[in-house]
Order: sequence, then C-alpha cells, then structure tokens
Amino acid sequence: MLPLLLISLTGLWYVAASAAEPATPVGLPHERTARFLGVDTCGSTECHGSREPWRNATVAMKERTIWEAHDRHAKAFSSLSSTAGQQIAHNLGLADAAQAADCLVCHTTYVPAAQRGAKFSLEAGVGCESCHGPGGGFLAVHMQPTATHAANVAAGLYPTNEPAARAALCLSCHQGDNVRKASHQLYGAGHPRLRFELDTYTALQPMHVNLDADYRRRKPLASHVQLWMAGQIAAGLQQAAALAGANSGRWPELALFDCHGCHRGINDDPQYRPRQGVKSGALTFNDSAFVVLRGAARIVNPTQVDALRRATRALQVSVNDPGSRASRATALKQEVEMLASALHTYHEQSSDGLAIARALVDEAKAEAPLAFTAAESVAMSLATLIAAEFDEGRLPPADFERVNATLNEIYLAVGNERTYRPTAFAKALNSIGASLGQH
Amino acid sequence: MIRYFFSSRARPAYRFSVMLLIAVGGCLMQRAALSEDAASEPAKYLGVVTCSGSTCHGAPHPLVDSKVNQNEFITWHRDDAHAKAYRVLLEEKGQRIAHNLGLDNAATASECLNCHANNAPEAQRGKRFQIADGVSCETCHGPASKWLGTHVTGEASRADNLKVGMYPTEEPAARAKLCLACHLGAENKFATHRIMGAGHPRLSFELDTFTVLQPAHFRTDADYRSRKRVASHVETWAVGQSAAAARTLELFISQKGQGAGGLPEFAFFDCHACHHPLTELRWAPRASAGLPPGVPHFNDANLLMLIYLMRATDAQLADELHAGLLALHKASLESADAARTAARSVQATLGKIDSKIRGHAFTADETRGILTSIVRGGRDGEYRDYAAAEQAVMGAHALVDSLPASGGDAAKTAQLNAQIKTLYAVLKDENAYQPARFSAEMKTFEAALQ
Repeated sequence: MLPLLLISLTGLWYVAASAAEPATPVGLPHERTARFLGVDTCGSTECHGSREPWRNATVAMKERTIWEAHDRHAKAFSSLSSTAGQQIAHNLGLADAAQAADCLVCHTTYVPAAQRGAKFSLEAGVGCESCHGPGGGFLAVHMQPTATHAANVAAGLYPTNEPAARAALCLSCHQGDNVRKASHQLYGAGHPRLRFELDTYTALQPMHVNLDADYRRRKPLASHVQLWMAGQIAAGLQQAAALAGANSGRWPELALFDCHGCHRGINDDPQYRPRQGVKSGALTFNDSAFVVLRGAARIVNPTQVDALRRATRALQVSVNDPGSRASRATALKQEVEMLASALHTYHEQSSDGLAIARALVDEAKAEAPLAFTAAESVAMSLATLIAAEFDEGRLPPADFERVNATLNEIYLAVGNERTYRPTAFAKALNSIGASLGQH
Repeated sequence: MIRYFFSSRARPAYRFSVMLLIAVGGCLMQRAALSEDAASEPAKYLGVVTCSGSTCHGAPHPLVDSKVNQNEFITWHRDDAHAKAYRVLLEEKGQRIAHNLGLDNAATASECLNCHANNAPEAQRGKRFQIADGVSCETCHGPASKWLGTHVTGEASRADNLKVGMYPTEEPAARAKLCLACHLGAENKFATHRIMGAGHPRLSFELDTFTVLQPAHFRTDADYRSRKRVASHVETWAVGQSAAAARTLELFISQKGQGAGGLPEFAFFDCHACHHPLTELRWAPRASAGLPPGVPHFNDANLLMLIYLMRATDAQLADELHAGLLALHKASLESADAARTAARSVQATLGKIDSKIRGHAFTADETRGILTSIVRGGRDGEYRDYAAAEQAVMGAHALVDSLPASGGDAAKTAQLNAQIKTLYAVLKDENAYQPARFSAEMKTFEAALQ
C-alpha cells in the first residue's frame, strides 16, 4: 500500500523528475539506498554547523546549530529515554523504547545497519538525512561550486522545497503510515495524540533556511497557501488510504477514528444529535482533513464540493462495516486525487488565501457541529491562511489586527479538548466569518 | 444508584392524588375480572387499578395486623422509579432519545415500551389494563387473571398461586432473571450502544442492592417466612452475579453480540475504557485481562465478582473461571467466532459455579471469607474498570449487611459501613473515577476487616 500511496501523494513531481533524470532516487529519504553519513558529517563547524551565517554562501551554514538548539527533532531520540518514553514502552511490553524498531522508525533516521556510515548515529534523532536524504548520494555533488538544486535532487537530495514532497515526508511520521504506525495501541500506552498542519509546523520547527533571493534563484519557493494545501491533500489521501486498509483483527485501527467521539464523558449530552445520517453510538472516523479540503474545494474546484461531501458521508455511514469500508474509502481517496489535480491548475492561475479562508468558514459552519479534531484543523488552517495574506501584503495591518482578534476567539474555542463545545466554536466561526467578510 | 444515599433518603410527603386513584380501584371489581377468564385462554394483565384498592394493596399506611403491608401500591407509586418508567418516555429526554433513534414517539415504540411498561400482547390486556402504568404490579408478579380471586379470598396456597401464573419473586434466581431482562437485556429487550449513544443512561445492576433501593414493598416477618423462603443478602448477591454473568454471555453469543456493520456490539464492552478524557491515561496492566493498551475490552465486572467469590469457597473453580476470562479477552481481539467459542467455555464454568451458589446457605465464616476476597481484588487493582469497582462496592455492602445476622459485632459493622460510604464517595462521579484511589480505599477496607 505504501508505494501506491507515495505515487499518488507525490505523483506529479515524481513523474516529471523521473522523465528528466531516470536515475533519480525515489521514495522518502529512509527508503533510499545510498549511505547515511550522519549529522556529524553534515554539521561540522566548517559546513552546516557554523556558529554564524556565512556571508558568501548560498545558505546560512548554521543549520545544524539551529536544529540542535531549537528544533525538537534533535531531541526525538532522547525523548525515548524520558520518563514518559520509558513508561509508554513499558505499557507496550517493550524492554526499551530506545531499542524498539516501532519507536525508532519515527524517533531516529532508522535505516538498515548496512547503510549507516562511520559517523552515523541513531542518537542524533531525526537528523539532517531523515529529511534531506542519504548524504552518500549527493554529498560530493552538492559541494561542487557548480552544484545546482536540480543536480542535487538528481543525486538523491530530497526535494523538501516541493510542497507535495514535504507533506508526504512530514506526514509519514506526523500522521503515520503503513510502516510508521501511529496505532491506537500506541496512544493507549500514553503516546500523545498526533496533529499536524504543514505550514504552521514549518514555521514552528523553526525553519533553518533563508527564503532569500538566492534561494529563489535556485529553487521554486512554495507559498504558504500552497504548503497548507499540500499538507491537507496529503493528510486526506493518507487518511482515506489507511481507512481502506483498516481491517486488522476484530477491530478496525481505532487511531483513524474521531478521538473525542469515544473519549468524552459518558454523561448524556442534551445537545447531541446524530450527524450526517450516522447512527448514534457508532464509530465515526476522523474527518478533519476532508472538512478542510471541502472548504478549499469551494474555491479551487467548486463543482467538486458536493461529490466530496457525498463521498465523505458515504464512508462515514458505512465506516463501521468492514464490508463496504474499503471501497468507499477508495472512492473518497479518488475524490481527493481529483482535487489535487484541480489544485495544480489553480495554483498556476491564482492564490487567494482570503477567499479560501472565507470558504473554509462557510464549510465549517455548514458542517456544524464539528468534532474537536476537525475544529482544531480548521483553526490551524485559518491561522495559516490569514498570516499568509498578511505576510504577502494582501491584508493591511489594521485589517489584520481586526481579523486576528476574531482568530483568537477561534483558538480559545479549541484551546482545551476536554472543555470543547461545538456551539462555542460555531459562535467564533460567525465572528471570524463577519470580519473576513469585510474584505 | 447508591444504596447508602437511597436508604437514608427522606420520604416525600404523602400525596393526595394517590387517594383518588385508590377510590377508582376496588377489590370487588376483581371478582368480575376473574370470571372473564376461561381456563384455556392466556392469563390476562388486569392493571394496577385492580390491585390497588384501599383495602387491598393501596392502603395509606402499612396494616400491622395483615399478612402483608397492603400499602404496596403507595410505596411503588411514591418511591419506586418503576412507577415512572412510562412517564419518562413522554418527557423531554425520552422524546429526544427517540428522535435521535429515528423513532416517532418513545411512548409508542415497542423498543422502549418492552422495558418501560408492561408491553403485553393486546389479547392479554384486561379491561382496566393501562400501558401508562409503567413497570407495575403484574410486570413482576405475573398476570393476575388466574390467581387474583383465590389470592383475595385466601383459598389458595402460595404454591397454588405460582402454578397459575404468579411469579416467584422471592426466589433470588427467579428474581434475577426477571430484573435482568430489562436491567441487562433479554431476547426482545436490549439496550444497545446505539440506544445509549442516543442518550439512554448506562445500565448498572446488582440484585441485592437494587432490591433494597427499589425500595422493597414487603416485610420479611415471621408470617412472611411461614409462607416463603427468605434468601440472605449474600445469597441474593451471589445468585444475582451468577445470573448476570450467564445472561451477559448468552446475549453476547447470540446475534446481539454483533453491533453496527459487524463490529462487536459496544454495549458488552467496558464503557469507561473508551469514555474517559484523552488527556488522562487510563490503561494499566491487569492480571485478569491480559490485554494490551488501546483496545476495547469486554465488561467483565460480574465475572470478576464470581472469580473472587469462588476464590474464597472453591479455588479450583476460581482458577477455571480466571483462565476462561483471560481466553475470552484474548479471543475478543481475534474474531467473532473465536469470541463466541471462548464465551461458551466460560458458560460451562458458570454452570458449575451456579449450582454451588444457588440455594446455598452461606455461613458467617464463608461470608466473611468472600468479603475479604472481594476486597483483596480491589486492593490489587483488579477493579480498575469503573463498572467492576461499582459491583465490588455494592457486593461488599450486601456482604456486610449479611454479617450482623450471623453474629457480627456492632462497632466493627459500623466501621465497615463507614468505609463502604467512603468507597461510594470514590465512585460518585464516574467521569472523575480514579482507579488508584479506589485501590487505596480497598486497602483500608481490608485493614478494617482484620
């Protein structure tokens, strides 16, 4: 399933790349066959481990320093030995999280021993090559004075600048896939709930790249809106693909379902009404990506919105039934693929974050009451879109202040999953809808 | 649903409207009803009004000179939630649950009426039968048409009455079967997870506790004992556990074990394993479950009580049940067939256990031994599930209630009752239940037992 998933996630990019350079390594970094040389190879003080930015280099050269000091990926391995890490491992019946493949696949650059270079160390956590690919393939090429981005990629550098490629990479751990399983068993053992929004998390990482003129000369710069969209598309594709293959034993993989549908107080909620034709007491899958994608579709491909909604609902009403779950999940995945194609065309013509934000508010209102995870996704998406419009000068500072105040209401409404109330979120949507409507 | 709070509850003021109802009914009418019956016809339900005349079971106060209280109707009408069973279907919540289930009206839906009223077939409803009577006299005591007359004149013995359709509610096994039909489920009555999801409260039942809480509308005096057997609290509790475990497995093995789309029916699983806040880790290993984190697990509260009961009386059967339960938990992760096979095996063990419990005269030493065993299960963290903790406290209460009659000391009993009160307090809010705190209080209880 994974290869299929990857082809569809990054399809356009891979087709183009392999047509130009048939020898280009494909797949996510950890799937590539070259040697992984380790953080110490990339991050020496002469190279990407400089204390200060270089004046004449194309990049800052202090990437390792930023990663080590500020990026939590650098602590991914040591977190396995924390009290929480050891407790989770113990609950899973593992002797040591720091030696368990199930943990290491996401908490380190977990590649076969034969591919590990002399300076490679698992203890570096999620290091340079976890995202950029094995240095053994491109190290020499990228150090040439004549190096180009295209040549580096052809030699095996992972194209993190491409939104679809970056989304597939990040989500392979931040949502999980067939190999890196964010299973309900893992959650039950104490692992925190996963959530992700590509553009927000890129900013929070923090970035160790200068998006300056030099960068733009070498590679295409994706906009915030493009990154956000790519993240949502990848999340939708991955969720649909996972639901299509969710059968395992007596229960489906519960991690794919709406967390708070079950994890709520058992007391009667007078506000409760069955949603979307789903019977009361039935499992409902986590549909956050699809709510957000329908919001985007209202602008990107308006004629597809109803079909997307029908496909989501068809899956939601039958998701308890292993007999029809797979076919309906596949149908939903196809709808998301259609939207991804339409998006390609849309990005070539325009990128109107405000219009998409308004459409997202409308969709969220139409879909009320939203499950907590869906509300949280809508909140992160709105924040991204609004910040993007401000950054790109399409939202004047005074207007930004006003919209941002209503965004705060949205964030307050999703601030605590235990006290989340769909009605409060709906009210906040009205406020932000009104403030966005004035543009 | 806590015995302590209910038993100390102040009784509401006497209601004048009750008198009106009594005036309408009359014992004289009952003779006429009887003559309507031909022997070949099915017995008929004659309605509350037939039983509740002021000189029959609707006396305003207990009559001391009579064999029975004769104010049974008043007790039921005023203090027994069964009397409101139909009415709640008409209230906002009942209507909302029906609406969420896609039903037009809860008060006309057999899915609801089968438990919230005496939903007898039309042919068995007498002239004065009212569906609105809710869960009333004949719902438990049986259709009166064939025994009413001789029961009033005193011509028939208890045995004669039972032969023509009066229900033997005094026998714990019979009473358990009757109560569990609604309080757990039966062929045509079952509170599915779909019904609960629509807003219906969770079911929770313990025979002895609920008999006390109902409240009982009978007095087990010398006269009562001359006519019927009086089962002890411990026997009632034990038989109730056995019946509940057996019924659970019977339903689980039946088609009712299948929920929406072929997934297991969630109503058989522990509620709070899922219904707890995501921000609180609930799972911990449990010797009697042997399951990994993150999986729904079978509600084994009654089975756990029986394991600890047998630990004190028949270790071999306790081990057999424990092994069967582990196999059932394991099989419930594999397939519906595997789960059913494992459940059948547990059923066989339960049959053996039931034959040891039913009608058994538990001695004071046995009762004390069982109480200690149940409490130790709690101390060891085996009642992490709220449902199990709830059963353990209700059971412990029934067992403590059994002790003084067998010659306990009053100060010790008071100390144990105080600890039971503390345990109930730990269970007061199921959404805030802390298994570790419960274990700690069980440890204190164990010390008090020494």
